Amino acid sequence: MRLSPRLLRRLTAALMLSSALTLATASAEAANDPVGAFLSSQYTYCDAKLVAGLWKISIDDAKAEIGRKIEGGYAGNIAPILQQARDASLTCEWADVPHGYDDAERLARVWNMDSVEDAKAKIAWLYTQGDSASVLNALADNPAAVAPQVDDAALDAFYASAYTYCDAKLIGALWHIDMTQAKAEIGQKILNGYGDNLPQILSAARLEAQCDFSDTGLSYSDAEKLASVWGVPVVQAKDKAAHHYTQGNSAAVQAALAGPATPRPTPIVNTPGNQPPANGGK
Amino acid sequence: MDFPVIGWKAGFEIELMMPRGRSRTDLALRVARRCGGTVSRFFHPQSEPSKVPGRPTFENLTPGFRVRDGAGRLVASFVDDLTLQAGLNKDAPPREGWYRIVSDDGRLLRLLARHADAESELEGALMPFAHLFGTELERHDGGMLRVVDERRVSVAIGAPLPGERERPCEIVTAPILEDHGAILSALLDDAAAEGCAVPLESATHVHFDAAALQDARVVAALVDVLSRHGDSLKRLVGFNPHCVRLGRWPEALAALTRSAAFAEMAWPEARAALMQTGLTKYCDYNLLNLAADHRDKHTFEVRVMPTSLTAQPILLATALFEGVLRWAVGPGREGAPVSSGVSGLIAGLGLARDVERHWLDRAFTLPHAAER
Repeated sequence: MRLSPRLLRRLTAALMLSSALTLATASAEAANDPVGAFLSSQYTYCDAKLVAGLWKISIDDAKAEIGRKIEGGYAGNIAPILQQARDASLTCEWADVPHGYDDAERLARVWNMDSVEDAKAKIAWLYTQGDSASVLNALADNPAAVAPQVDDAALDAFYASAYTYCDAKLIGALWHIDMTQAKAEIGQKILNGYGDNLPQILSAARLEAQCDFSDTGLSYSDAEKLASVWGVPVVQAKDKAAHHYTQGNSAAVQAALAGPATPRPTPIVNTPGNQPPANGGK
Repeated sequence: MDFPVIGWKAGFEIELMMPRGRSRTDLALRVARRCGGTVSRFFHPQSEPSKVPGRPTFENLTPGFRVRDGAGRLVASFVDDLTLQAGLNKDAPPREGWYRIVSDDGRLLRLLARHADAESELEGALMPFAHLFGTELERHDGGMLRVVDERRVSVAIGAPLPGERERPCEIVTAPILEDHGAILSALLDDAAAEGCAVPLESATHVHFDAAALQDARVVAALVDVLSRHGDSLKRLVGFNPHCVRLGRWPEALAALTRSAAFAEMAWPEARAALMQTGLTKYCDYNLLNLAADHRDKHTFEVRVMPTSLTAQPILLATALFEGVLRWAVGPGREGAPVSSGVSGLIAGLGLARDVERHWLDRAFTLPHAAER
């Protein structure tokens, strides 16, 4: 998959900004979770489908195979495997890419194509070639001129899902759309059965933006409890919570909040029954 | 990080898949051009399971290619591996000049491999063999040729090789004494340039020269440390779960090597005792070549490494297992206790700092490879 210069600069900056704690946390969380490693990577559902077709395994197993290579430090093995899949005439279709009709319609205009169907075919072909960046860049460089009608059903689907305000913020930053539209985009993909494509979109979005503590919906008292559970200062707990939400791991934060806080030492109160003796006890 | 320096003579077997339309001949030719050398074709033997009742395996010969450099020194061989299946079009017709020879008697096939001309077409390769038995080749449908004895009992069968079997390419390097990184890197760069990919079932095997291991106490220490930490090390290096020819040692091995009597055995006696424990080559850590004193392959083989198209991961794993061998030859032989945790083992192997840090980082981040 080729990255635009802009995306490459963002990726480099994101890597340099990572703290040791963040790295340790991220690597510990990613280790031994091959599907998670796949979902956090640049590889797409289409890539997994190609590998599945080449090796006659399930798409879920193909995701794990790609993730296992990433986890093991053998990511360099993946590109040649994908090329052999393409050489075997394996392809992805419109249903395999994380885009809707609106995207195809917009790109048909950008690419001067006669029909939306042609744009759908080109999008699928680009994903097959490992060039999803061309699609994402074209969408980012050509935002929708008019805000589309927001579908209430799509919003309801978003609110009923496990996706968060932070996830909507990331997608909004990627596609230069407002929060309401971003929530609706998430909901629409869920309703249309393309929910499995959202993790890959969010992976790309994380190269462009991240969430702050204010985007998590957590309160200051939540931050205090997290600080107690994680054994860090409140300021660091806020940063860590924001990082978890950015990485799509809000469940880890919720689990920490649901558990017991580390009990504070009971203060000793001098009462008539336990006052120390005047001579120091000797 | 620079390439880890390997201080042990070792050979590598790296399983790759050529792209569609190419064969392992193409990779051999590329390597030969780089080395200013030559390619010669030879018969490569393999065993495969048989569905014939009472006949568990068939022995196969398929085309292999040997590259020598300008001075005639072996660089590497490029051979088939029957375990590599996924991604091949089994209905593809055979390519011209590609055939296999099958027999149920490995001795006859090894005789044929020594004396038949592998550069010949199938008929030219088999005809002299038929004449040895005083018979003529029998021709059957589909280009199949059969060698029979004077009672018309089959001796060997040759047939064109369909199903893209020319694409699997196992690189078998010559034993490498130094500059392992440069040599492996050059071979893998050639493979990448040819469009090779790592197949689903792929593994890399490293054959460590066994000269320093010919000692009962060394073998006892090696079996002890790998019995305790072999599974963890296997997970640490990221073994391929699709590799089927792996597994643990027979229980009789550790029972033998833990015994006080074994520790006192001279090497010939110890080797004979090892051969009675049921060793096979199809396991994680192959002691059979060492125990059997194979003239052509006197090695201790690590079979759990995954394949990479770059040399660094292979060399890091090789350095780790070299450390285990050095421990067995040194402190282990003298009775040093094995650390209870794999991170303690790694820290005690005396590895180069970068190599040690790499494996400790991995041990601490992979929960199932960590301490028990």
